[in-house]
Amino acid sequence: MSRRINLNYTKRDTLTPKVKEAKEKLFAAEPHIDTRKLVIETEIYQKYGFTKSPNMLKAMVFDRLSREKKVWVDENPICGHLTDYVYGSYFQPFREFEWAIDRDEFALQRGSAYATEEEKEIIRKCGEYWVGNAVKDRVRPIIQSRYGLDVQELIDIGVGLNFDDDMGTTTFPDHDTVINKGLNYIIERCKDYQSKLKIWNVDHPDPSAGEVPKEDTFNTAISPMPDYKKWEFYEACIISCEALIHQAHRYAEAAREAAAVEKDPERKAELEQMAEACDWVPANPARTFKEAIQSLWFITMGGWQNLCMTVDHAPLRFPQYMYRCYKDDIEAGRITDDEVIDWIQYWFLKVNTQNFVMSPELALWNSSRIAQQLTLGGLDPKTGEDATNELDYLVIEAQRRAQCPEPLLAVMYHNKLSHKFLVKCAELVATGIGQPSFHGQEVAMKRRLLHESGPIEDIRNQAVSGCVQSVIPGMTDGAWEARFNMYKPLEFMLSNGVDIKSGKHIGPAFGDPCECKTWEEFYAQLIKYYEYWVIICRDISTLEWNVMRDFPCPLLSAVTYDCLARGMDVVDGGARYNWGDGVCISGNVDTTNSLAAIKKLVYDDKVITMDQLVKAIKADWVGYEDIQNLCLKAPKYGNNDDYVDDIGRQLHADFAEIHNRRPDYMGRETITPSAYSVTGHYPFGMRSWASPDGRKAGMTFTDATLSATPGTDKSGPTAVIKSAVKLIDPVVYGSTHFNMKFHPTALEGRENIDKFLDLIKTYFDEGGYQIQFNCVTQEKLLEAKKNPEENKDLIVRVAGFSAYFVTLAPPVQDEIIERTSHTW
Amino acid sequence: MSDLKAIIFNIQGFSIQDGPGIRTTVFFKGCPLSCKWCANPESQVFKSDIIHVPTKCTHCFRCLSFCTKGAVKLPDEIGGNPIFDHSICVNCEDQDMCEHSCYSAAIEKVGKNMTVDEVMDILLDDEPFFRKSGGGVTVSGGEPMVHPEFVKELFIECQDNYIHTAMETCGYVAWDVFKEVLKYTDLVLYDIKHMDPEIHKELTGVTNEVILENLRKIVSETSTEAIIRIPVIPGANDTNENMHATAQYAKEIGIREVHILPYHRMGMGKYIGLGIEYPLGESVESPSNERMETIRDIFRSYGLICKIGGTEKGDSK
Repeated sequence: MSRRINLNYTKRDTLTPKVKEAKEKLFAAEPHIDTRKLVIETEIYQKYGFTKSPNMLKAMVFDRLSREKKVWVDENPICGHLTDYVYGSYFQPFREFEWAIDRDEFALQRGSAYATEEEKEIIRKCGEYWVGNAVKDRVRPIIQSRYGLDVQELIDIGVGLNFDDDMGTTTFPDHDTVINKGLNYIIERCKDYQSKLKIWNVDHPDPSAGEVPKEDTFNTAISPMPDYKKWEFYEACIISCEALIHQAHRYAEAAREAAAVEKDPERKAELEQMAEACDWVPANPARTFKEAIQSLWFITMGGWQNLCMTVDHAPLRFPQYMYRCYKDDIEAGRITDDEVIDWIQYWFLKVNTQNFVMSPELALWNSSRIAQQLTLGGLDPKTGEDATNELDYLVIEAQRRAQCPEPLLAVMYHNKLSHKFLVKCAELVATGIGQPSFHGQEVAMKRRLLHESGPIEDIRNQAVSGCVQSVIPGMTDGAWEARFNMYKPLEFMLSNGVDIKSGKHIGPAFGDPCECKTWEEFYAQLIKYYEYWVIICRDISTLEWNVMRDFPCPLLSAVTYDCLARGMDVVDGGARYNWGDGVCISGNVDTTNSLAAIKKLVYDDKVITMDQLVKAIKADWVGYEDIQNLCLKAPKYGNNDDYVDDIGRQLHADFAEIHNRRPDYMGRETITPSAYSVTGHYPFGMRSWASPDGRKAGMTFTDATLSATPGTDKSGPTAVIKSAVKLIDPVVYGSTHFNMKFHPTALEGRENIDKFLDLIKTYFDEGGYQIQFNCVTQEKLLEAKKNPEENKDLIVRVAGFSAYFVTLAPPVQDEIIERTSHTW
Repeated sequence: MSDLKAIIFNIQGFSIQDGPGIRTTVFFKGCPLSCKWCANPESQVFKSDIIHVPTKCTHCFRCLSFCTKGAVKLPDEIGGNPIFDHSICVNCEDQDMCEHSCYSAAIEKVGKNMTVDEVMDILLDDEPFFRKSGGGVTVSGGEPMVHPEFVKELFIECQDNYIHTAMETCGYVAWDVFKEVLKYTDLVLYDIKHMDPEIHKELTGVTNEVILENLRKIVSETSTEAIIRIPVIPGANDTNENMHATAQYAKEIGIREVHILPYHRMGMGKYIGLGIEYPLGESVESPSNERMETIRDIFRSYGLICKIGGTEKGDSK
């Protein structure tokens, strides 16, 4: 790997006129729901539901969709639209569907779509099949019968979220194989595996049947597939790959038709080139950078047509798998760096057409993001050297000019990154876009080594995924579990098992907190609540995932190692590694501060009694303002104060231990708690009563999981960082999430940028895992809230993602405005 | 990238005397001055040359048979070294062959034509050390400013890679040329040999007016940081009077830091290899520590930061 980066592009801050026009058109496009897939899916499941395997059903739906969907070409030279509309999305009726019936307005990532009467009728008719048969409808009765708990009620009182509204076969596809070898290669492999199956042995499947594939040597699947099921799996993979190739050929045809009538010779040539590219990829290895981008978009689009959801099929290590084509083109003089930037930007625009229809519940905690993480930096898997190449720089430059909310640029940080590269990253942060975020390669590798075994080439190959997690691209499955309100068990503890807002007894009651004579007694009793509620959330999640195995994704399993070797879909555990993304916490900083206040005021200083505190909390501090004041002044996280940080560290360690008592839905032990908030801190705060840190009932919790509560970090950025590296052990947890806000003046000029980078470096040297930045003035945010129309372009860092500020829910907007802003 | 080339006679990693932190020093060949005490006499000539290291020579005289120019001659007595006529050698295009002809590596070619790219590739190897230590790149010589275009391009490349740039210079260069390079120079280590123009001419071959005027302009007209370096040569410039005069001048133009470097004789061997006489004479000894401290205190008395050798610790007065 050469250290020398040779870049040669024109210095400019704006987009080229063509890209600008495409961007403006795209962001002005009206959101649409698309019922075509809903109809196809309903028909196929109704007709073949009992006679075909889940894999075959999925493949058949995709096959028909690829043949029937509308195809057309537009000003973007990359072909392919997710739906029949420029900005539209399909439903995922198998998860849950009753919320969609008779609804006029549907939330997409960038605004609402309005259903026509005709569409409402289609939704109603299809709903007759899905409502009552969706995953949610199958899981909830089991939980009711086993635990006597109503899952919906747990959501409503704020115990957890995301039990069933956002689950599905997330994949991290092997783009390298698709782009550099082509889908025909995958199809050949499927046929080869198929030919080795012992199909006569149906009744007593023989696990050792067939050739044991050479690459299947790590983390062997827990339960091998019987051979006849493998046959159908391979068949479904072949159908799905061929469907995508067919769809590409339809785009080639559309481009050729457009070229035939085109007068402008330049555009005509472009259309012909588009047609040629779509004829060739994704079936074959890309021959040029442009074909590589086209191939990348086809596999992503195909993935989203199969299953569209947050974090799905993200681009991951783009600069790595695109480099062969880039280098060849540059050396042959087929492309210039300026053109490469344009094409990256065209592809960014395509990424920004990815979206999905959200249920109202989902829109609460997951608004505005599709989390298409693009990993920069990182290590070369083979040599362990810095992997940064020209494309890392060009992607940053493309985003600096394009300012798109997606993809999310994320840096895999390690000590070998050059200063030059980091300065480019910092300059992008300084534009205010909140990208890139920084993730520690070392922690990501330690985490993987702690949980799984694998060759060093895999372990080094870390990409940022989801919001702030890490994966090994092309080899990892994507199960993720529910969101957990870290504060709720403390509320139950203080009220002895009652949801204070509704006054209902829910779950167990372990006794009056006033009986606890010491801090240790109090804490031990609190842990009992965690033991109960964490396991409940885990059980609901794992049950959901088991039911979700009926809804696999053959197209993307075909491009994930070792699914083909094992003859198993990703949902069945076919991938080599397990993402292991367990229950994810938010509200944890507020809980930490609350516990510190209790220990300090009730047990150490004894200035108030537990009885007084409980009364004050139940009254939402009304009439108890003096107690609230004491609570607000108690030690707070984010000031490098061991008193509170140690309590928090203990709580998070205990939480992780409880969490890991259950394996994942496949019985695998490789599951870790996660710690990032998305926008979950808003609904959880809304549904939680007043907390002992002095917070009023219903107020939004602290964002992220390592950020300080706004206004409580009074000791500057170095103290917050020192606290942050103490609170959560990022090796034991699957992620941490840390948001810092800087005033733009703090990143002006070379010296300030150096200081900023020293801050990041120190954070990672001290063992931190993830950090991200907002760099917009408070005035600008307030202005944008007041005049959303004029500030449509303003992008901010929300949680693990960036989003247009004006598309966020007002309480989330307020929370961002309130975050403490640092200067030097 | 241009195909500009310059003669480089050494690129030395882990240089710790030539500016802050861990640095890589690029030595250019060619110098307008000819200081009597020069420790790098092989760098004075503007052309590449060959140097013969007598301690390695096994007296096989293979070099003699390889030389097509008649530049190498047998010694007058048995057991003597081959005698090189450097006036022929510097103009010889077969220096590489000459170097390869020697089995015992007693013949070294000094000076290699390199492009900015080639130099950068070597410099970037140590980028992690620069970053960690606050170091960077120093150009030295010879005199780097005899290759102003090259140094400018090199420094632009360095700054593009966020590498700190320093230049060790005698300052004997036209201001218009100098200022173009200074735009990309973070630090100059500026040699002041003597304050008296006549003595300066005697010691170095040129007078010092341009040199002193240039430093004045660096401080007043550019944002480049400047540190004065004084080689303390006994009998040549080490009088209290000269040191007071230098301190006075430094104070007056606004310099903050002065490094005094004790004379050493380590370059003497090279003179033999080049076949030239050591101009300072072999009797001059290095100045004593006490003498260096006395000189340091002279500079400190003017409120200047002064370090012996440029790396003395704990001095911030």
